[in-house]
Amino acid sequence: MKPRAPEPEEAAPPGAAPAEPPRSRSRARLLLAALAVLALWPAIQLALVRTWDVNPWKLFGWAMYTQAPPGLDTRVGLEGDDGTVWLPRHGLAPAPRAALDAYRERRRALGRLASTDALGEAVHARYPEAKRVVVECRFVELKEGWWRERVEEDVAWP
Amino acid sequence: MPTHPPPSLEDRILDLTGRPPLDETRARLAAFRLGLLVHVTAVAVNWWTRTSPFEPPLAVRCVLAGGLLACTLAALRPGWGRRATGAASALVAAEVVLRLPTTANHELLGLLALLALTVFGRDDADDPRLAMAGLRWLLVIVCTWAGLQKLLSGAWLHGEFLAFEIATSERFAVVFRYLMPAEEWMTLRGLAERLPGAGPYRLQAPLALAAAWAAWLGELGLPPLLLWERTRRFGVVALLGLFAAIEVGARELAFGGLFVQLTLLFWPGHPRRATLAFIVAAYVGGVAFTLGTR
Repeated sequence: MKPRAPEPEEAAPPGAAPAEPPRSRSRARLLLAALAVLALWPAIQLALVRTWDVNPWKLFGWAMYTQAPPGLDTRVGLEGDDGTVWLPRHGLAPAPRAALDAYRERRRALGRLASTDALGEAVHARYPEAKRVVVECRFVELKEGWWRERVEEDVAWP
Repeated sequence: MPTHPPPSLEDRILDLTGRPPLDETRARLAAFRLGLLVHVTAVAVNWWTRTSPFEPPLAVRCVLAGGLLACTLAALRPGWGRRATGAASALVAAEVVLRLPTTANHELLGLLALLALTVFGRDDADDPRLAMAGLRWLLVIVCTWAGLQKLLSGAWLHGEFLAFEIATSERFAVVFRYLMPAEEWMTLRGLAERLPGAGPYRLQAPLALAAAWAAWLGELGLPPLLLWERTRRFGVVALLGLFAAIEVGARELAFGGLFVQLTLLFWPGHPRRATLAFIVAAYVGGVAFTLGTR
């Protein structure tokens, strides 16, 4: 049967906006799902910041301008039978120095999620006599209005 | 009379940010597309001028900036908008990935806006409205989280973060010189070094402290005003005022420019050419200033 054409007065009641067709449900759902992820991710990023010392400015939690960038000094320790020899950045050979610089950048952004593996490998390759390679991070952070120092040490190799 | 089923839950949520007429939506999106492409190009050119050893090689940055400029020019050609945003999405996605884990938040925000225009870029009755809803919600979500994160950080309740900026940044220091007594300003300016035990970084002057509270309260409290028809215009004006006030101190187009463009999507009616021309001129001026001062 041929569908009936709508009467002119039926198309839009006087004074009312014309009815609009509903949206494609699948595409609307796709958009909503993306928005839900966008709305929930900052909560996860916040947990990463609090738990793993991730930089609040990074990883898309929209927490820029919430923390003064901390000062960070790093140095490498070579553990042997006679104790630990600490090598500041300028005392390292070029390859370990580049690895330390790269680690420092990752550490600034990713906190304790930053892996020390590449640094440990690079340092041990240059200083094979070391039984253990450690890395020290010395932070100066703004906490409750005062700069505070905090030192962390981590084993980079083995 | 043609009957349609009642709006689904998806529609009702998406329509919370408003449902402007289709022709108006198309016109607003077209203007936003051009402004957004100019924005991501300007950000890429700004990136191109950086000299950090941790940035990708200069050749890669040149290709990205040149590619985005080509996308912006291509978008001027009728019917090429979606292709231009699609290609720009790929380039900005590469930028976001190449800079991980130090990628700036505004780079992802630009990418998400480009993706909204590309994924929902069909010229039918559905996609323009989905793109508009997505972009509007993008602003509401990001702005609300930015305010909430400031509150949760604890670095804004006594103005600690702003005190640090006043101490170390000439841009903030110049503005806040007029919002606090000279003695307090001088004390803060003497705290530029990161020395253990140095402080306190706190604002005492009522006006300066009010500015700190206005920033996070505005980001947290103004976006909900965009969700009601009655308060939408006021919300747009108030948010634009807030972003302008922030930019007086921060002076960066990366977030400010994009936030302003996203906020303008809420303004009813067709976009004005003069507004778009002003936005484009602001970016061109910003880039020229950056290139001239580096």
